[in-house]
Amino acid sequence: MIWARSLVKRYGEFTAVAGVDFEVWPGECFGLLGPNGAGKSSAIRMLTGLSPTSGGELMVCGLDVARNPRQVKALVGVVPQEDNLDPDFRVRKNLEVHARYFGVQGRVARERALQALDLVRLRERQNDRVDTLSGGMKRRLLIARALMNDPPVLVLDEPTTGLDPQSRHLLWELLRSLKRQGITILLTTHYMEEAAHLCDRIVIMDNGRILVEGRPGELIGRHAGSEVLELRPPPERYEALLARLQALGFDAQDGGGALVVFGAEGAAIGVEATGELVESARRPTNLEDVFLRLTGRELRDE
Amino acid sequence: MSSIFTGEAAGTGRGGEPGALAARVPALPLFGLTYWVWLRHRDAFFRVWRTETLGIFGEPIFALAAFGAGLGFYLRSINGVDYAVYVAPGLVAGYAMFGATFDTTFGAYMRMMNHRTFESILATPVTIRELVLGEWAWGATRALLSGGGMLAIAAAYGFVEHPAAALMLPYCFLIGLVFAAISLSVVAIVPAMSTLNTYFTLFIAPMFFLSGTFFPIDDLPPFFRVYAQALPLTHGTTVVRGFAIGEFSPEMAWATLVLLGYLAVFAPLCVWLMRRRIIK
Repeated sequence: MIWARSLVKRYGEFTAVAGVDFEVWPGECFGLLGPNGAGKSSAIRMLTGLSPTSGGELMVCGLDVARNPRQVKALVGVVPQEDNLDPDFRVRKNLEVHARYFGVQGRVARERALQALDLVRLRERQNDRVDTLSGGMKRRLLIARALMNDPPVLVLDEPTTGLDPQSRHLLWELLRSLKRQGITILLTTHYMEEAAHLCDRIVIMDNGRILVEGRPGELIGRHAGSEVLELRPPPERYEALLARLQALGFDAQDGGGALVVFGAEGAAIGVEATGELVESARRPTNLEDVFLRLTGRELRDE
Repeated sequence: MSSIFTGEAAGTGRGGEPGALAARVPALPLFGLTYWVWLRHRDAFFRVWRTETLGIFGEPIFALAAFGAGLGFYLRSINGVDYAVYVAPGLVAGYAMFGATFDTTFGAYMRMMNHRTFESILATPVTIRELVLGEWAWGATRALLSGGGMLAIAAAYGFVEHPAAALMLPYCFLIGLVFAAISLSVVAIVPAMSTLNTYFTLFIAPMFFLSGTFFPIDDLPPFFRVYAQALPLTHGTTVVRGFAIGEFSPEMAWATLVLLGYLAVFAPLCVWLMRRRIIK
C-alpha cells in the first residue's frame, strides 16, 4: 500500500530523512518509531503532501506521491499530531466541511459524519463546539474526520501523545477495530508500548535512518533477548558499576535511572561477581530495550 | 474494496472517490477545488451572520451619518455635488478595501498559524494554489459584502441615486481582489501577527485617508499627490464615484487598468509566496 525507496528529505543543509526504504502491506498496522528528530514526522509530511520529497521514491496504492499528489491525498486519511480542528464549526460540521474537499457532500456527507461519530463515540457531541471537547475527544474527532473520505490508508502522527492512559486505551481499541475493517494503518509513535500493542511490523528510526525493521516480538527477541536485568544502584556508584560490568564483558547500558543489563541469566552472576549489593529485578524485555541496545541511549531523549 | 460506511454513506466504496470527485467539482481551469475552500469561508461567515450583519450595516449607518450628514452640513459641496454624495462612494470603496483586508490578513493568518486550518485542508485533495485562491476569492466576497452594505445604507439615506450605482458592486469585488492579493502576499511573509499591524498603520489606514475618499487628491501637496496616485484605492475610488453619480470618464478606464496591473502582479505573487511559506 505504501512503498518508499531511498526516500530523502532535506531542509537546506539539514537532512531529516537520509534514504529510507520501507513497505507497508495491505491491512497491516505499521509503526515508525524513534525519538524526536528521527525523521518520522518528515516522512509523514511527505506522505501527506505537505512536503515534497528531496529524493527517492514514495508510492501510495501504486501512485507516485510526487506525480499524483491529488489522487494520493484522496486515498489517505491524515490524523495530525497537533489538533487542527476548525474552531469556526461545530463537531459534525467539521466533518462535513472536510468531506466536501473530497467531493462528498449533502446527505451522503451527513450520513457519513454520523456513522464516523458513532465509530469514535462522539455522536452525542455532534452539535457541540469543538473547543468544549477534551484532548482525547479531539483526537477521536480528528480520526473521524480522517475517515470521511473512506480511505484505504490511515496515517497517524503520534496519535496518543499527551493523552491520559484511559483515552490512550480507548484510542488503541478504536485503531484495532479500524484495522479489523481492513484499513491499512501507518502510525508514528515514540511509545514502544504502543507499537508493541498495535503494530504488526515496525521500523525504528534514528537520525533520519532506519536502524531495524521487523515484528515487535521478533525485534525484541533478536536485539534484546527474553529478559533483562534492571539494576538500581545508589547514584554515587552508578557510573562505576556500569563501567565495571562493561569491563567484565556484559552488555550493560545506561537506561536513565536504571542500568539495563542484557542477557539476564548470565548478568545476575556477573553482578554478584562485582561484589556489590544492588537493588535488581529481572523483567521481560520490551521495545524500549531494543532501542537502547541499538543506539546506546534512551528513546525519549529529546 | 468494501467501505467502512454502510447504506447511503458507503458511496462508491473505499477510495472510490477521486474519479467521482473530478466529475462533481465545477471544473474551472486554474481554479480546480477553489470553490470548496471559498464555501468553507462562506459557511464560517454565515454561522455568525448576526454579528457579521451588524458590522456590515451598522457601521455604515454611523459613518454616513457622521461624514455625510454631519460633516456634509459644513462642507456643502465638492466639484458641484453635495458633500454627502461625494463622500458616500469614497466610503463604499474604502470599506470594500477594509472588508477584503481584514479577512485576508488577520483572518488568513489565524487560519494558517493558530488554527492550522490550512494544514487540515492541504491534507485533502486541495492544492496549495487552490487553497490560496479560495482565501483570495473569499476576501473579494467580503469586499463585496462590506462595500454593498455601505452602498445600501447610502442609498437609503438618499446619498446615492443614479441607477449606474449598481455597477459599484462588481467593482467592489474587483477592489477586493486587489487588496486580498496584496494582503495575502503580506501574510505570507510576516513573521508574527503583530507585524500585520504595521501593514495597517503604514499602508491601509493612510490609503483610506489619502485616496480621495474624503476630498479630491488634486488639492494635496505635490508629494502626497504623487503618492496617492500610486495607491490602488485612489483608482478604485475614482471609478466607484463615477458609477455613483452616473458620469463616465476616460480616467475611469485608466484607473481600471492600474487596478488590473496590481492584480496581475499580486495575484500570482500571493500564491507563490504562500507556497514558499507553507510547502517545505
